[in-house]
Amino acid sequence: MRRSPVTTPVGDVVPGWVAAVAVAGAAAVVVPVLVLALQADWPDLPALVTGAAALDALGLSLWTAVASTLVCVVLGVPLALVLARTSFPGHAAVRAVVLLPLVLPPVVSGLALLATFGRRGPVGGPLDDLGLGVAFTTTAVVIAHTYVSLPFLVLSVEGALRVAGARGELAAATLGASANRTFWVVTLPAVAPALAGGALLAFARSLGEFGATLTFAGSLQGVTRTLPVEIYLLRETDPDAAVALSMLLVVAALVVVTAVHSTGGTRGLRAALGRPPRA
Amino acid sequence: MPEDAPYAGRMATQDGAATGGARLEVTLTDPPRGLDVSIEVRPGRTLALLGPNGAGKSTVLRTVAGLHAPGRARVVVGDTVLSDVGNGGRASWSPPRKRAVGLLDQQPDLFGHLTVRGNVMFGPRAAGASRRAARTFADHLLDAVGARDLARRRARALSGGQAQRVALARALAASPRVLLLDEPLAAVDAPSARELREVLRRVLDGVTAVVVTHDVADVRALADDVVVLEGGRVVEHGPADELLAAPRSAFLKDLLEHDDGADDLGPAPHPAPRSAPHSAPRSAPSQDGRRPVARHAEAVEALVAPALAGGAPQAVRVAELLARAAGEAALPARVLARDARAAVALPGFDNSQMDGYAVRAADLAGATPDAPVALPVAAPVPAGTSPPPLRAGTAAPVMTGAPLPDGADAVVRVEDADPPSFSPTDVVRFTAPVPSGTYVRRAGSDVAPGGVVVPAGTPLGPPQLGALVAAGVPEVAVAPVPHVLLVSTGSELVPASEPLGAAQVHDANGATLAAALAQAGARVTPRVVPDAPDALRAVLADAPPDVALVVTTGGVSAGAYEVVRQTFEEAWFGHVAVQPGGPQGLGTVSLGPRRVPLVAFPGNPVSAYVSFELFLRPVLARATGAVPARRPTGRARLAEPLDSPPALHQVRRGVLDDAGRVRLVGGPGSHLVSHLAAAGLLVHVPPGVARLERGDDVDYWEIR
Amino acid sequence: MADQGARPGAARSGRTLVAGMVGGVVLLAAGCGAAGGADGDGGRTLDVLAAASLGTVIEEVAADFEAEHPGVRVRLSLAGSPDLVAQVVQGAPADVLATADEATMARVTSDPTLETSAPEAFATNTPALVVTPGARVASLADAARPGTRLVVCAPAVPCGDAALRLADAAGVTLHPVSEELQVTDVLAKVASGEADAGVVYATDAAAALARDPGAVRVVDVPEAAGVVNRYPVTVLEGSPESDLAHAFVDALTGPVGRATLTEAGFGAP
Repeated sequence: MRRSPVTTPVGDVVPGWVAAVAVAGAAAVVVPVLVLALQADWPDLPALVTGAAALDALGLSLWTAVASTLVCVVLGVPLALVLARTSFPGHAAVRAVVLLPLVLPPVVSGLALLATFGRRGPVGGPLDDLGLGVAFTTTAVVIAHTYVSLPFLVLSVEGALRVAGARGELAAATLGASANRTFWVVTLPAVAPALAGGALLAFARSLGEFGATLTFAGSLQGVTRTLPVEIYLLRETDPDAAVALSMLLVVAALVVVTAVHSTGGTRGLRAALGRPPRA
Repeated sequence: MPEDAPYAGRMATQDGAATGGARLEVTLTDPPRGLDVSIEVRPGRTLALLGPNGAGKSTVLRTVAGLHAPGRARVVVGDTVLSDVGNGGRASWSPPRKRAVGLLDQQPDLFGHLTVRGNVMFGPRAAGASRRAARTFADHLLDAVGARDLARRRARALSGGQAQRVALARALAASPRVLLLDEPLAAVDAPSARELREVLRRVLDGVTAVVVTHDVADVRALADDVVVLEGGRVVEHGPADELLAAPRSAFLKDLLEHDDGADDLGPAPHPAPRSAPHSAPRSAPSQDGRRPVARHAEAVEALVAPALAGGAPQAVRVAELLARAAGEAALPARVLARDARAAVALPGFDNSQMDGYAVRAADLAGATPDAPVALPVAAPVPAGTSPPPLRAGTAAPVMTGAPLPDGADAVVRVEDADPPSFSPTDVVRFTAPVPSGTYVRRAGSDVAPGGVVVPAGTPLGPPQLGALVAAGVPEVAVAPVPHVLLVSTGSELVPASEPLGAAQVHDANGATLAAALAQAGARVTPRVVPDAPDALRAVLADAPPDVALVVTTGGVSAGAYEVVRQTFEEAWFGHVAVQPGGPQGLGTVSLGPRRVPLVAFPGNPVSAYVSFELFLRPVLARATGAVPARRPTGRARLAEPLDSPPALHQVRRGVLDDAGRVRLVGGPGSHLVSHLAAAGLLVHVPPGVARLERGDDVDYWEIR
Repeated sequence: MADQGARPGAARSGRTLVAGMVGGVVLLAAGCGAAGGADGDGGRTLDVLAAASLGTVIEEVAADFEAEHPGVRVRLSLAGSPDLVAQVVQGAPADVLATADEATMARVTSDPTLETSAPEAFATNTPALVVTPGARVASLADAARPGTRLVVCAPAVPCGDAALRLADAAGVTLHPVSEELQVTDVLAKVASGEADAGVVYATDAAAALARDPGAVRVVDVPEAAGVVNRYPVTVLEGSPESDLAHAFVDALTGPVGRATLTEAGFGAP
């Protein structure tokens, strides 16, 4: 990570009381994680996280997160492109709705998914009749993850597209390229870093998903019980294992956040969030 | 395309330069931007498009590239219409990727994630070239721009100059038929710009190209032709070397003044931003302080012709034109705005070119003088009726222009038949075979249905009307009649019909010019204003909305009450090397949202009229189709000697006497209206002539 | 001297500020989870921690208790038994603790740092099989058949443990499609039709039917009577209000409590 070459002494620019509150704010975030880490039974950690249930949960979490990230990429990139490059009636509304899962309580997301994909839902019902019901399956987990993670990817890519502008695409057009060729050869590679960043964020969000998964998919070891659900379950019967698995998630989250920052992948996201929807 | 087919684009030559560009024609009208421009680039030539910021240069380029859609536009490359929008008829518009129009911008806009070679290969690959062929072609072009050694570099790692080279190669690799360059060197550091300009000079040779630039060095190095845009209009155009040597527009003069001529110092600083597109500093007078007549005429044409060409074509019924032509009003001057196409074939039926016998050629196949073919004579074919079919083995007498009977496919002249006359006979003999089609005018052989009877741009005279009637064309689209706001300035002036007060004169100027403008095909709104800028502005504010041209008289000298000069500060005012009519003005004025050309003539009636004949009538007549388009000219001997200031082009008024010699009417002084009224000739005494003797030849224009 | 102490030196002001802020934060935090035996108006407060499944019952008992003991406020904390136990072990203020099973209670009574009265069983609960209306499940065997979407609680949760014991007693093996974290989740999934059948407590089934008689159907499982879950209650003797606490336990185990419990579907101990 880059560091500003000049460090400004506190007090020159920032009032002392602001600095003090800032310390408190940082502490509010850091202290709980640190305390949790102190509680962790580090020597026994390997043993704690390699129990059959824990490994099942870890494996399930990893692969559902990967799968939902892929789905997010497939669905999100076209959505981002349309949002960034076109204007149509209701553009702002579509953009707002796409953002919705970011701010919805996960349990609400889960209820919404249940209403849609559940056995009696408009989508889930017919699927269930065909024997393709998603309830209580790993597919439901992927759907829940995708639902809550998609906005991260869309916002990252859309922001990057806006920052990059359409000049490259216009250049491609004057060179005779079809829209399709331009998309694959020019547009997509140009936003690849943001796409990677957005995908990492979506992956991390999927990894940590709890509420929507529990509400929508259920909880069964190896099928729908992801790592956060396993931790929630363990916290009663085996608090040490719960803390150990928590540490695993904390480390994974740190790795992802650091990776996203170093790819510059949040630039698009920041641009997207810092900018009002195109008028 | 086979995998290994060599890809050479459409026009690459050995040295990598693309050649054989197409002709480019672009006309656009964009009222919100105040644009009204018509530009043509001949095949293989490079046009420099100059003008102050905001003049509309980039809009022209973007319109050609298909990145901008103005209100009205027509873009033609070669035979292909790329845009035809807002001109009536079905709009057509090709997307940028189908235009084969390359664009090199100020910023290279390279694809940063690709290698340099990948960038250049992009166009050929998009066109379907194999990877190998595209690579070969790309390397070829990278050689041409001197960037071959960069081929494997990532495009985002290039310097500005390198990137622009690569962008040039990339644009050329897409084999454009026209290449547009929008300030291609503006963002490049000076040494790189110098090198890149040299590269451009090489590769643009033979390419149809338009370069927008603020840098005289670019013009010198690259341009074959120059067009100067100001306020959305073409104010000057011509070959680059001529315009650089003798610039006419204020902008170009200013640009050249600020150019120190040191081409190798990189881009000259841009002219300072201007508060308005037209606030270019008053141009310095040329060496003798006067503008040559021909140059001013061209300047007027460059400014006025595009404005007169604008406006939606009007539909006119041919019958109405005929009725007016037959009445007292005489045939109004009209120019066809669109091709008139035949509704029916011309001729409408197969007919005979000769008096003779309609036959079937096959019947005469074996005829020789020794063994003539004898055919029974069928009923003669009268004109104006539909004849019965010609039975095989018969011949029907037919008159010139009469329809050929069905079945007949040739005519044998009566003098080639035996007997060689239409004597009453039952049998006619033929001594030679006749090829099918002989002496037959086929239906549609003149004009097929839908074919062009009279092309756009033709003035409608009697022959054209005849052709239209013959081809069954009921209605034609003609160029609109230009509306001219004619403003006579002078506090002493009173409109023609009103009584005079003390120290007042009637507006003879307005009368003369109004009639002259009308004769040249324009519609005129005359106005008289006192010597007060506010009054002049009020008249302009009140101008009818369709005025295409403003003509003023008076107020152009250097006196204290020069109202026209004071009001139109941004226009050009100066002296033209002509007598009478030296002080002239030219520019554009705002009429509401539009800018229309302003032609300012001096206030003296004779000066104003001579100015009109010299500078405005040719442009106007060409646009309206008024006849004659040019005054008939002649050359005759002088009946008397004359003196002329050698620095000026003198225009004297005269008549031809009974002996066919030129007799002058009145002296060189310009104020004698009665003498002008008596004159039928404008006598031209070119610059450099101080005196002509009796008997010397002079050129004249007939003005009646 | 008062003057001296009242005038803070410049060097001390920073430390004072930080100390004040830390103090403020601590007070704030304490306020959030306010505890203490005395109310602001001088009345007395009894902290009762009870298993969530006792919800309505314990509320009624508490209301009666408050009516009979003017000036006393019963502060109820309803949560899953393991959560309650964890809170008590961490030192949360508690006078009375009632859990849903004896195993969980044992973690409190066996904690050497805590002094408790002998746990007294005051109610029993039995597992019940609920099915979604229209589901063709007529027995536990039907519910256990693969293809039936059976949801139960996770084994770590008391209701999950009860489901396992029920299956043992009935001699069937369950194939749940989901092991929920709370008994209410099981009920919700059955009631919504997402699952065909679920194992809950008889009290949960009774409560659900009380709210909506058509929500679920209860299938009789004879073996359920043998799978009894005992609800113990204990008084935490360290409490300053232990006399009140004992009075509360008496109320719970007395006739009024008994009637309320029966009404809610609980069995006698």
